Amino acid sequence: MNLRPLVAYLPWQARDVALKVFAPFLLFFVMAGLPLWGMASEIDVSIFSRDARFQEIALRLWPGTAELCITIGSILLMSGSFALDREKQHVRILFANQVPPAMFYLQRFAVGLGLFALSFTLVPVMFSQIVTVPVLGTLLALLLTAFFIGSLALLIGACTQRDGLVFIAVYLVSNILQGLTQGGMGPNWLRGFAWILPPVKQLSDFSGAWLGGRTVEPTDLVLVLGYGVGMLVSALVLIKRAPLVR
Amino acid sequence: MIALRTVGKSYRSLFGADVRAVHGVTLEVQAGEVVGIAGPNGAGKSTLIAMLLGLLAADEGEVTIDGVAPRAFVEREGIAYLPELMTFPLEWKTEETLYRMAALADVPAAERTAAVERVIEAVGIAEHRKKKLKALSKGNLQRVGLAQALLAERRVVIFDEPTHGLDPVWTARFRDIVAGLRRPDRALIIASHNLDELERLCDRVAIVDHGQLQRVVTVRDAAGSGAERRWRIRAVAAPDAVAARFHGAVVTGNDIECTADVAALNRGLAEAIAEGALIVAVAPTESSLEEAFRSAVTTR
Repeated sequence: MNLRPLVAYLPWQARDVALKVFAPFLLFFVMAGLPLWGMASEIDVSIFSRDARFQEIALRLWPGTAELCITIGSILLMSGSFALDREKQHVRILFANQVPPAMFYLQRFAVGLGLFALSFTLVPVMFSQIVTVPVLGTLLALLLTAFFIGSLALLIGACTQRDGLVFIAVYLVSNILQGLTQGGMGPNWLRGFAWILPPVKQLSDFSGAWLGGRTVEPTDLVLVLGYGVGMLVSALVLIKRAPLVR
Repeated sequence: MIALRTVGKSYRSLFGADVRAVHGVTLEVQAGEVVGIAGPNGAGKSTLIAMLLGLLAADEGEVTIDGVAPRAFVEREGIAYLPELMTFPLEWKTEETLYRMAALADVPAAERTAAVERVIEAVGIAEHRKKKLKALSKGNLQRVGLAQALLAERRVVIFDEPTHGLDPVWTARFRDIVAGLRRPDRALIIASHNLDELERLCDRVAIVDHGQLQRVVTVRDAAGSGAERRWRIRAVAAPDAVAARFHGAVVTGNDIECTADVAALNRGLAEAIAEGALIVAVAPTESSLEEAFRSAVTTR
């Protein structure tokens, strides 16, 4: 396999992703930065003052907002690449060249994951000026979320033309059913169905725990990671084997 | 070099019915040949091209390029491909598009700038190099598409409706470019609705309709064949003397339309000239390929 064209194309892949990495930053600024700024003015303290009341508010705001921004950022950065290229017929010209399609999208996946991790890690570093938050935990939450969501999106994009709608449906249904059946609740069939769906709830639990500086149970982590790897490999096999145009 | 053997491809519709896009197509294209694919809309040309690029697999039969499956060939050495419609992201700039494509085409880094400059010059898009693709006209976009197809030396070239959107000057220029691409080790395939263009550029033209190969016309043979065809003759003196030589000829002023094979045409014209006719023009009313096309798509 000749990987020279992919190596040569790497800066362009990075550039395509780099144009989107500001979106999660902006989202975090709007969802956390602006309200905190407002609250600091209201209680008449500087956001850098280390005031106990303000720190408590900031600490409460951090995990939920960071998780939401990481999830939305992962969807923005990691989804739609293959499905969009196929829908817009970009695949026709791209893959008339000596480039294996599966490797092309694996490269884009890795570049997206890497750049997102590099850039968004700045958020907890900056936020630590206000209140101490776990930088390593944020990085782990981001890597796991972006990997899992990216794999799910790539697999759905490889299977269907309506990848956006299907992704939202799978994500929401999984989250709801796994929430309802958590702790052995609900009938057996529903628990079984929730179990085979992508473990979105477990992903959210891990993410929340890491962002809150708590430790996580490794058994479920293997399930989430394994599911993610399985989805990524299946997506790449489908891209390699299935028709690139419809 | 390129071989399609009883190739078939069906699509499944929303309600589960199979739609046959291509059926039983057998065609060989040798290195050094320029072969056209002509057919009405929906004839199966795009499906055939997608199979040649390895973007779609055949359900029946076999497609090979240089003895291997198209995808394997493409991933080994690439195909110079110009799509019918430009399918680049339109936010890309012209020059950027060519640099991206040069990277994917495995043009060595040290030669990339020279390759990009060469194709920009060849298709005359220097003034548009910094513009976004969405700011370009259809014809200029088509020239960018042509430029990217010329970036690397490929043994297989596929052009899908190459002059779509080009003005007459660039249509003529395109013919020169194709002439320059002819090489003993290279196979060129041109899919087009423009039969005149195919007749000028190709050695053979495969006529497809309803997913089937109806006929392969060897263009030079068709032009000089002994078959009867319709002619338009302009005689500025004694047009009636010309008309009298051809059964069923129709005279309109100085123009005569008649049906004859090439030998009978020459005999009749020689006799008319001997009787004082002054001939200024003789041309077929439609091209030989056009005749073959018309008969292939209507005699199914």
